This record gives sequence, structure tokens and C-alpha cells, in this order.
Amino acid sequence: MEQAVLYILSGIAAASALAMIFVRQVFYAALCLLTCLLALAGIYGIMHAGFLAITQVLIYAGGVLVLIVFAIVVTNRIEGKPLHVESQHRFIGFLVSAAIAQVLVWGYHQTGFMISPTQTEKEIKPLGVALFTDYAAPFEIGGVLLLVCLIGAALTASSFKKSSHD
Amino acid sequence: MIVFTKKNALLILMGIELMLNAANLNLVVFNRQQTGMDGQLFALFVILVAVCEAAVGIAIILRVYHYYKSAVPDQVSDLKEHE
Repeated sequence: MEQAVLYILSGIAAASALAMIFVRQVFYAALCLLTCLLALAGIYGIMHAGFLAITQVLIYAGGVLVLIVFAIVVTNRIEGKPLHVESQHRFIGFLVSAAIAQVLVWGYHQTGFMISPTQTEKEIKPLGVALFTDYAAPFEIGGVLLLVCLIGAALTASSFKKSSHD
Repeated sequence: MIVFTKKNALLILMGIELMLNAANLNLVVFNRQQTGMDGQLFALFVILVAVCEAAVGIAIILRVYHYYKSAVPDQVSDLKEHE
């Protein structure tokens, strides 16, 4: 039962990621990205990473994607404008993607596909403990990074009335 | 492949987010083979950095669109030397 749900969610994630390449309009690609992110959140839930699943839904699907959709609406004056893809770069892009996929699949076979028997089934408590003891420094630096990016993004995207300011 | 072939700056940004999510998926899935929660914590910090980068990237794209009136990166070519 859990295996069937895992296969279905993986299929949805792969299909929507592939669909992002082939749809012609930018807004449909954003919707495909949304389904991919939600399917990935479901996979995280099955893989005993519940905190990360909720974080993914809240932040990615509910924050980053809303931001991207707003930017699409602001930068598209004509509705439903189709997107043309350069065919020369398409072949090279496919070659590079296939090469990276080949390296990843080789890496997956090297691991042996086993589940560690001492993997704890508790999800949230070890995460919280590790976040404040072993990973306290990245936690604080992450907070500073969030502050800096918030101020930077707000300053960069504001003051559209002036044409130039230094 | 999306980052290589597409001609819209926002679609390239979405391709970058997709790649970051792929790395996150690898981190979370291969955490099952290890003891401890290192993979999930790393994935959490990857989400953090990706959100910051997406916010700043969209701010830059909006400013560029405001100036060049186009969201296609090929048309942002003021610094390109002409033959």
C-alpha cells in the first residue's frame, strides 16, 4: 500500500517535471511546478521526513510559487503569449541532462539500496535537538541570510516611480 | 534542460527551483540509509537558501523588466559588443 502511493507520487512528480519542458505558456509551467512540489512533499512524508514535508508545502508551494506567479502576471502584458524554444540549444540541453542523469543513476547503483536498521522512527525530536546543538551555527547564519535577503529584495523591487537612483 | 533551452527569465528561475528540489529529494531519500537526521537538516537549509535566492532573483527580474520592457534574457544585451 505504501509502495503503491510512493510509485504514484513519484510518477506525478516526474510527469509534471517533464511537462514543464513541453508546455508553451509560462503560467502552465508554474502550475506544473506546483504539482511537482506537492508530489515531492508527499514523498517526503512517506520517507519519514514529516517536518520537511510540511515545510515544503508551506514555503515552496505557498511562498515561492506565489511569488513566481505574481512575477509572471506582472511581466506578461499579453495574456497567453506562447513561448518559443530555440531548437539548437534543445539538443545540447538534452545531452547535458542525459549525462547528469547517467552519473546519478550510476551513483544510485553504488549505494546498494538498503535501509539502515538503526534509523530512528521518531521524526521531529531528533531534528529539533540536532538543530539547536550540532547545527546551531547554520541556523543562526540562516537567520541572518533571511534578514539580508528580505531587505535586499524589498529594496531592489521597490521605488518604481524613480527612473534612476543611486 | 529548462535552464538551457527556455527564453523566459522566470521559467529559468523555475528550472533552478526544480533542480534544487531534486537535490532535496536525494538528500531526504538517502537519509534512510544513515543514522541520524543529517540529510533532512541539510535539505532544510537548502530550502532556506533557495527561498532567499528566489526572492532576490525575482526582485532583479522585475527591475530588469521595468527597464528593458522584456523578460527575455537574450534582449538584455547592452554590454554585449557588436561585431
